Amino acid sequence: MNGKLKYYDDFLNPVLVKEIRQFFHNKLFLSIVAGLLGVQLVVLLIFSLSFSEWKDGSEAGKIFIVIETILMYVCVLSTSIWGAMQRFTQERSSKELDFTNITLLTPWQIIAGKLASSLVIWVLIAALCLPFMTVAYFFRNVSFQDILLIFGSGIVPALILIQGALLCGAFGKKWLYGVFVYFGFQVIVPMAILSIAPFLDHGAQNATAWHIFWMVHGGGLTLFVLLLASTIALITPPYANRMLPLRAMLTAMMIPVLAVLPFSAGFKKEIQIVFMLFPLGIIFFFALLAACDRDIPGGRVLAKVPENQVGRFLHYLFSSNRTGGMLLSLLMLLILGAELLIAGCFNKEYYTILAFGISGYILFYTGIGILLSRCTPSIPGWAWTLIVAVLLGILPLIAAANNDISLSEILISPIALLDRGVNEIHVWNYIFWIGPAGAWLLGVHFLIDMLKNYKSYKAPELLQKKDELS
Amino acid sequence: MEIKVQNMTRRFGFVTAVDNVSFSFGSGDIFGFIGPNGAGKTTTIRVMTTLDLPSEGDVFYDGISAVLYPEEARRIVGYMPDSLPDYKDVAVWEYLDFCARGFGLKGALRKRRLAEVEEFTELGEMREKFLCSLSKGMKQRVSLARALIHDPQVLIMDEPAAGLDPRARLELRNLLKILAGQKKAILLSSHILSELQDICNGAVIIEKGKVLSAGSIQEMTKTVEAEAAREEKKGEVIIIECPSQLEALKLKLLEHPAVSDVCEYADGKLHFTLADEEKNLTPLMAQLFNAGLPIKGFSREQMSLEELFMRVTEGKVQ
Repeated sequence: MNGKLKYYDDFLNPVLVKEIRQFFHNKLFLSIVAGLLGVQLVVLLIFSLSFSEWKDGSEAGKIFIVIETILMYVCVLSTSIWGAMQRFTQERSSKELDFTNITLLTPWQIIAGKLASSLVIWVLIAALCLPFMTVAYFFRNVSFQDILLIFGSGIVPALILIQGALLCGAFGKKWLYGVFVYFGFQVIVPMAILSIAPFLDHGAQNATAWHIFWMVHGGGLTLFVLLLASTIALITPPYANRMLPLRAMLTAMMIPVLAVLPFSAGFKKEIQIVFMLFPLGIIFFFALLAACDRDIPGGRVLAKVPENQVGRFLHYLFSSNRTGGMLLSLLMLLILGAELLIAGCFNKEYYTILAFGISGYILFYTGIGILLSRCTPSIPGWAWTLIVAVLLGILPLIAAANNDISLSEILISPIALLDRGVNEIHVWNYIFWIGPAGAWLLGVHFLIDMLKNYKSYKAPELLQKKDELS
Repeated sequence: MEIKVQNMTRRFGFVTAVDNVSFSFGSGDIFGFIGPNGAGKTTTIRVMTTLDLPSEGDVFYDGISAVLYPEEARRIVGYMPDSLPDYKDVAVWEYLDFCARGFGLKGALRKRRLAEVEEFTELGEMREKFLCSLSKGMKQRVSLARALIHDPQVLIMDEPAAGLDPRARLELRNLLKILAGQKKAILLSSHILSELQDICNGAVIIEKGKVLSAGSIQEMTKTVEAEAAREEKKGEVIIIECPSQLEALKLKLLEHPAVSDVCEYADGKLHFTLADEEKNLTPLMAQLFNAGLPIKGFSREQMSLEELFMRVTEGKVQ
C-alpha cells in the first residue's frame, strides 16, 4: 500500500480515532444498534400490515415519522451522547488520567475529537434510520421535504445535548449525570418538540413553523457555542489562558446585539425582551467567570503578552485575571446603558430598566465578593459572591417583610423594590441607577488596580528567560 | 540532562504541602523520592510533571522551565502514575497507540515506537487484551510503556512497585536498570525502601513538605554515619570475613582495647565496633594477619536505606 495511504488515520484527530474504536468494541453499543434495526423492522411491519385499514388522508405517515424520529434520538442519546459523557467523566476524574495532562493534545483537539466522534456515531445511526424514514412518504400525507425538516429539526438540540454531556463530563463527577438528564428533559427535549411540532401540524410551507424553527435554532446554536467554549475553558490547564476563548466568544456574541440594540425600538415587544435578556445573561456569565478567576495570571500567560499597548490592554481585559474580567463586564454595562439612553428605552419599558439594573446589581455583588476573597484567600471568589448576593439581595427582603421599605434596602437589593412597587415608575428608576452605580464605583477600584498592575503585567525576567530559550 | 527543582513551594489555601523544596539529579541517575505519607511526594511529582502549578519556584529541565513551557517539559518527561484507566473497550495496543498520537508521533515512527515499548515492557502477548482485564503488574507495565512511548529523557514514577508481587518487582527493577543504562534520568517515589536500596544511586528524603536530605546515597550515608558515630562515640561497625577459626578470631579481637560488640554476622563473618577507626584499623589488621588467622577480607558495614531514612526523618540530621 502507498506509504501515505497506509497511515491515512494520521490526519484524523487522535481522540476521534480512540473514541470510534471504543464505540465498536462496546457490546452495549452494538446491541443497541442491532436492537434499533430490529425495532424499526417491527414498526414497519406493523404499519405495512395495518396500512389498508388507514383511510385516505390519515395521519399514518406522520405517526410513522414521529416514531422513527423518537427511535433514532433515543438511540443517539443512549449510545453516542451518554457514552461520550461517561468516558469523559472517567478521563477527567483524575489528573493522572486527563489527556490535557498526559499528552500534548490541546483542549480544543480533545473536545473536537469527542464532539466529532459523537457526530460520526449519530450519522451512522441516522443512516440506519433514514431508509425507514423515507418509507413514511408511502404512508401518505408527508412530503420528502417534511421528512427532511423533521429530521433536521433535531440537529441543533442534539448538538446541544452532545455538548452539554461533554460539559458535564468535563467536571469529572458522576453526580452530574443527573443534572444532564434534568437539563436534557427540561430544556432540550421541549426545545426539539417545539421545533418539530409546527412542521408536523402545518407542513413545510407554514411561515409560523419556519419562524419558530429559526428562533429555536438561532438560540440553540448560541447555547451550543456557549457550552463549547465553557467546556474548552474548563479543561484548559491552570497554567494556560483559559479565560481567553470564553471571553472572546462571549464578546463576539455581544457585539451584534449591542450593534442592533439602539434600533430595537421598532421591534416587536417579545424580540425587545430577548434583546435585553441576552446581554443580561452574558453580563451575568462574565461576572461569574470573573468571580471564579485568579487574581494574577500565570507566568506562561504573562510571557505571551503582546508588545504593543493596544494588544497589551486587550490581553489584560480578555486573559485570565479577575480585574480584567470585571473591567470588561463593566465596560459592557456602560455601553449597554449608553445605548439604552440613546434609544430612549428607559422612559418607556420597565423590562429594559429591570434587566439593566439587575445586571448592575450582579456586578456590584461580584465586585464585593472579589474584594472579600482577596482578604481571605482560602474562600474562593465565587463563594463570596454567592454569600454577598444572598445576604444583600435576598435577606433584606425577608427582614423587611412586614415593614415599610427602607433606603438601605433599596440600596442593596433590587428584589426589595420589585416586591414593593411593581407599578410605580419611580421605583424602576431607582433600580436603574443604584446597582450599576455601585458596580461602577467598585469599578474605580478595579481600574486603579489595573493601573497599578499594568506596568508589571509583563514581567521582564520572564521575557529574558523566553529570549534565552529561543 | 539536568533536572533541577528550585525553591518549589505549593500551597493549598492555608496548608503548605511543599515548602521551598530544592534538589537536582541528572542523566543516568536513579533517584529515590522517599518520605512518609503526606510528606509532599505526590505534590512535588505533580508539579514536576506539569500536572500542577507551584505557588512559588520552578522546575527546570536543562534550563527549560516547566512552569513557563509545560508543553516542552512534557516532551522531555515521561510520567508513570500509580493508576491507569479501567477502560472496558480499549485494548493495550490501542491505548498506547492513542498516547503516541497524543504526542504527535506519526506513521512509521509511531508504529516503531509502539513495537519498541511493547517489546521492552514485554506486553506483546497482552496487546489485544482490554485494560480492565489486566492484573496490577500488567497495568504497571502498560503505565511504564505509556510513559516511555515518546522516548522521554526523564522518567518520573509514582509508587511504581506498589501492589506488585516479588517477581514483578524484580522485573521492574531490571527494566529501570536498563533505562538508567540508556542515560535516562529516573525519579521514583516509593515506600518500599529495600526496593530502592539496590537500584538507586541517589535519594531525596522529604517530610512535612520539606527536604531533609538530598544527594547521592553514599554521601548521605557518610554524613549520617559520621553524625551517628559522633553522637554515640562508639565507632565504626566493621565486618571481617574469616572462613575458619572464628572463635580464635573473636578472642583476638576482644583483646584489643578499641574493639567492642563482637558477634557473628553470617557464615564465616564477624562484625564488631571499632573506636577511632582511622587510627586503629591498620594496626589491628596487621595484628590479626601476624597471628596467622585466615582472613579473606574486611569491610565497613553500609547503612541500609531504611536506616538512613529513619535516622534522617527522626530529625537527627538536618
